[in-house]
Formats: sequence, structure tokens, C-alpha cells
Amino acid sequence: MAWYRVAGQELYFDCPIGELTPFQIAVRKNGTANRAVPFISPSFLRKEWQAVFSVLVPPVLICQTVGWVADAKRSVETWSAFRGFLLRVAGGSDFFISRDGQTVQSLNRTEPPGMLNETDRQILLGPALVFALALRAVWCLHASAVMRGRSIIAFLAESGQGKSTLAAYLSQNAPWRLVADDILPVGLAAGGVQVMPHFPQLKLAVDVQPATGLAERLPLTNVCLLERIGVKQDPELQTITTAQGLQALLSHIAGTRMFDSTLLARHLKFCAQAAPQVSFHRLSYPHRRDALPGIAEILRTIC
Amino acid sequence: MLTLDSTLLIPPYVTFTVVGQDAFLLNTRTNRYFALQEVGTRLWTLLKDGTPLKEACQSLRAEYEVQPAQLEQDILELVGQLLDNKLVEIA
Repeated sequence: MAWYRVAGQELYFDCPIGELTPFQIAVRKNGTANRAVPFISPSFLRKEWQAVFSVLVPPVLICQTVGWVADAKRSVETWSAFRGFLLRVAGGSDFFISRDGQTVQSLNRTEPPGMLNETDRQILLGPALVFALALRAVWCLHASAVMRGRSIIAFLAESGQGKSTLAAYLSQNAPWRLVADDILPVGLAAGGVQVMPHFPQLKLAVDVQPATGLAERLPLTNVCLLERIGVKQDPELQTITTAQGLQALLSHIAGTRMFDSTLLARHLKFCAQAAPQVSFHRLSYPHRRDALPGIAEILRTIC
Repeated sequence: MLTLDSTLLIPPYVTFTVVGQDAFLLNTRTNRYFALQEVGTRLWTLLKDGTPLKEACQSLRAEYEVQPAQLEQDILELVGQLLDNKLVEIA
């Protein structure tokens, strides 16, 4: 059992997860899941008795999809229950995610307490974590990101489009610095759109996680939509409209296929509020190594 | 016929997990989950510890302020639902 602070949010998992060790925090005394046997207040129950006692409720299926989880294409279901959601990924254990997104607990894991098989580990670090954060209004952008001074640029692209390569190249050259390799949690705050880089980047080794030394929240200034072009073409950066930026945000937030209508509405609201506060660009990007220095020069013009 | 004198068993194919104040019951034969809120969870906890239904009823009476007739009716209704969904069996 362990508490972590991931993407600026305190989360409880019912078993330790190695990749989250850098984000582990002290065990909290209060919380949903660490009260194995609840103390029941008679005065509370006096009010609730008739309403809640004779209830045996099957959770309701709210979403059924297929996704790439734990190195395989799997059926993914989300179910609504009293105080949360059930996440059922084919081939893995079922997980309860509390409605406030703070608790993630296995319901039918067969391993001894504290043990986690590989499939469950990837479910927890993938869809379960993304879903829990979404319930806390933190949205996981499928993006890499770099920082230069106080400016952060996020690169949106599907897998294989070069966003990690570009971010890795830039971060090897000071003053650029890596913020995210594949997933970038974002949210709204009083100061605008913020990124929350304290998140495990699973394709990177533990000792090179970009979160180390970074603030928990940083302002997001620019978003570049990567567009792959022919290797003989030159890189180009174009400003795109807020509407196009909104569309890019909507389509690059991970996990939306698991969301119910309420969460989808919140997701749309976030994107609509965030888009006008960020500068969006389209970076036409040839996949050739010698183009990278030129791209770095182009990006300097926006930060 | 179900009465408070019935002895109940939780079949081996039923698993459960307590999450906070609720319990999730899984009938592994049907692969269906059911959720119990806090008072139902308390009853379930007593049953899984092998407490006879009549004693469980007495425990709940001691713990909660409720009329005995209401308590018995609610318990039998809930256990009826558990039986219908094969989450408990009468021994």
C-alpha cells in the first residue's frame, strides 16, 4: 500500500509500483482506502438506514473499447459504481478507481499483497493512472515537451512521428531541457495552462526521468503539432488557429475512450478553456538527423 | 425458504474486496460485480466471518438505531438479493 504524489495529485495505490518510487510520499492517516474496517457512526446511519441498507447494486457499464495496453490489444471496459469506477482490462485484474480519483485498488488480484504482475503493472501505470488523474481534472497529453528558460513547448504527435526524438535532441543542447518524453499531464490553474511533469515516463530509465529537479507545475506556453514531411523538404513552423489548437488538444488527450459523458464534458471544457491561453503551431518536420539543428533554431523564435 | 434461522455460506466462487466503506462482490462464474454500501458491507463482513444470520442481525441491532422489524425486513430483503445472484447459499 502506498501513497504517491503524481502530476501534483496525491494518489493511493494498494500496492507499491517501482516506477512511481520517485513520487512516493509518507503514508497518510486519512483517506478512502486505508480504512479497511470503517467506523460506522450510528447517528449517520439513523439517517441513511432505509435508503442504503437493502441495496445490492450491479455496476453499470459506461464504456467499452479496445486499446493497446500491456503490449497487446485488449478490451477495456469502464463501469460506474457507488463511489467510483471499475476498470476492467482483458487479461488483467479489475481495478476500482474512486470517484475523486484518489484511490486505485485491485479487486480480484491473485498475487500476494504487495505483488504485482507485469500486465497489472502496465494497467495501473497506463489506463488506471490516466483515468484517476482525469477525475482530478489533470489530463494526460500524448506529447513530449521541452523547456527553454521559462518557456515550455509541447510536441503533439502520434507514436512514431518523432516527438521523442525531437525532444531528446533538443534536451541534449543547453539551455533546452526535457520535460516529458511521451505523456505530459496538463491542467488549468489561475495563471493559465500548466504542465505537471512529475509523472513517470515509462520509455525512459528511472535515473533519467525528466521530472527530477523540475517544479511540480510549470506554465505551458507553446504547443507544436508535428507534421511529418518528406526528408528532402525543409522544416517549417506555422502558427495555427485556436480552433485548430483546440482540435489538436481534444485528439491528443489520452484515455478519452474510457470516459463517461460527464468526464467527456469536462474534457471538452478543459480544452475549450485551455486553447485560447496557449500558442499553437504546426511544425513540419522532415525525419532526418541533419534537420534537427535547424529545427532548434526555428523553435528559438517562439521561446 | 429463507428465514433468520437460515445458515448462510459464501460459495468459493464468490470473491469480495472491501474498498473504503463499500464492498465489491464478484461472482466469478458469471463474471459480474455487485456493490454493497456501508451497512450491507457490515452485514457481509459478519457473514464472511461465519456469523449465523440471526447473530448478525443481533449485532446490527446493537450497532445501529433501527426498529427490529425494519432491520429484519431489510436483512431478509438483502439476503434474498444475494441468494438470487448466487452470492450466498443456504447451507
